[in-house]
Amino acid sequence: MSVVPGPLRDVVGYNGAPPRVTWPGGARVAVAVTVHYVEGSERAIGNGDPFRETGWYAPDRTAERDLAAETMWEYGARAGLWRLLDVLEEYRIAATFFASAVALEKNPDAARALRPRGHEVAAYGYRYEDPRDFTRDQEAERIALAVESITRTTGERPVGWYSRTSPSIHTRELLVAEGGFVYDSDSYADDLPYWTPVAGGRHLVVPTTLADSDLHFEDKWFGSPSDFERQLTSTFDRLHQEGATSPKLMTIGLHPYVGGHPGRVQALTNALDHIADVGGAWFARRADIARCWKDMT
Amino acid sequence: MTERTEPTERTEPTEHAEPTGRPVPGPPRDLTGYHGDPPAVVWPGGARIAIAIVVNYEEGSELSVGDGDATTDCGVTDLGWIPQDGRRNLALESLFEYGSRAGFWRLVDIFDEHDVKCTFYACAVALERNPDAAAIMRPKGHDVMSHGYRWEDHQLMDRDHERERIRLAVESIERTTGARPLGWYCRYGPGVNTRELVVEEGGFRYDSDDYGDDLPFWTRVNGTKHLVIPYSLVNNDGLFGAAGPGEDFYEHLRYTFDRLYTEGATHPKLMNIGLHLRLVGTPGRAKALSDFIAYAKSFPDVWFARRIDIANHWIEHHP
Repeated sequence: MSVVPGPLRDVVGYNGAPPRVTWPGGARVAVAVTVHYVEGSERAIGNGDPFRETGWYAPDRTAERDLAAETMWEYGARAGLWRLLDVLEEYRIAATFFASAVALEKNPDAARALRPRGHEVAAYGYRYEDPRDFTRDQEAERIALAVESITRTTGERPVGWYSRTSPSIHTRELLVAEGGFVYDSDSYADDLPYWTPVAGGRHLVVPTTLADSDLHFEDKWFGSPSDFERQLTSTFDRLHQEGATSPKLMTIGLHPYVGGHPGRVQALTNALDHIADVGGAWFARRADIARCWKDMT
Repeated sequence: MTERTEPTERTEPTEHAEPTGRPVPGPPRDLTGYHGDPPAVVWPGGARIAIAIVVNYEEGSELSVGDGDATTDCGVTDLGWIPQDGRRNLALESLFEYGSRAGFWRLVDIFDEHDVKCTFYACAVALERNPDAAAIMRPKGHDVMSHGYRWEDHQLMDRDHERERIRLAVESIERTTGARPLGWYCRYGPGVNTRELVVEEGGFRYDSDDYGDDLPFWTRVNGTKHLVIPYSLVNNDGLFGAAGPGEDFYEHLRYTFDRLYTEGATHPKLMNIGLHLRLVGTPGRAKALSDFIAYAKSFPDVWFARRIDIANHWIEHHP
């Protein structure tokens, strides 16, 4: 058998018997509202990049500027982000922002608004970029740049990490080597955080999900905003039921350029109203969940 | 709505830490806009929301082998995005024709029934080929702006060619509708020269070649102030292509309205509704549109606005 580079796969996990955890306040579900803020750090001719993101329009012309697509991203930075911040304030929810460092650099007022409102800012790359496009040394440099930049623009260093598309085989080791990260979310593999061995120590993973993400508006799995609303309420209702004996983690994934549009925000607030009506939710930043897990396990 | 607590002082971004040094053709990006602190807009009558219904009138101006073009356009029809070869596709041609023959008149009736006025994004050649439709637009109180000479991609044009196409569009729409267009919107997206050429032409009050905000905004073009009224491909019947029956579109519009109406208690905004004759002009979907208009009209303080009304309001109150 050949040697596989990178971490070993784990298809067993908790083996059908996840630890019975007690979330703060005895909550049945830990709900992590997670906002991915990348607008302005995506590949764009308007950024001076040689190629733009491949969108649905003219995918064969990525070396040419697409001002329409650029402004659709800009909507997230100019309108969607602020609308989501208003909603989080209305519902008194502290969220996690997975931020690409350059997106924050390009919107300093937004960057400064996050931590004072109680939100966590975790790192989502230096730019909105796939770590597998870099050599190991380049990737280490990008991680260091992201940490330095986010510390500068938001006033504190990020303690969480999430990769665009997929981590590389080096990412987790590099995060541990860089130091200062409490967790990463480069996994979709479970409903609960888990420890994984890295370089002789243990490293915490707080998994996330694509199932409860507004990105399904982009791939058209969601049509009407109520599709998103029903997805969120169904997820919560099931986890609430399981949470009577086995409390779990729910992640709501939002992207300002997608989920920041008003109809989709209405769907989000309808779902949040439903969660409030049912009760039993602990709205938590991912760093809170990580620290809670560290204390419990 | 919560009041924001930050100071209104605004910080413009400095050059980010990774300048690529590559020259950027066309206008600079704007990722900050109103910095989270948009103007408190007072729409006419104190409305909480301005609803701009846009009807794209393109049918007959799209590329078509039946008109002597090398291929037939496949944009925004019930067939979905299936690029065509050089053979005539009579089915696809007739899908477009449905828009100008049946869909147009149905939508005009619906606007009459509800007494609302819309803005036609008109491709000049499409109006030339349906003179009766062109002739009734303005008398019925609707607004007509330019959506190009044909339904064509401005990103592919060189500057001189594009200048000529803009001129042709203005001249033609003035002839077929009785007045020149005062607004401009490209198919999908502008080229890097479009906005400069629209300003250079001299007779436009605004363009809608932007999807970046919920309110109009001013930008500068070679030192001249220029008004942009952003548009939306989210509140757009183009979604029908993949996302369910007409009722879903009704729900989509209702959710958008509900959120913006809530925000409008303190910060009134613009709601765009983008429509295509060949899609929303079919009866089941037209019902969804009609139901939404009735829903919105059941609320007080709703302003159904043509884009020129919004432009004039902005020029007067937010110069």
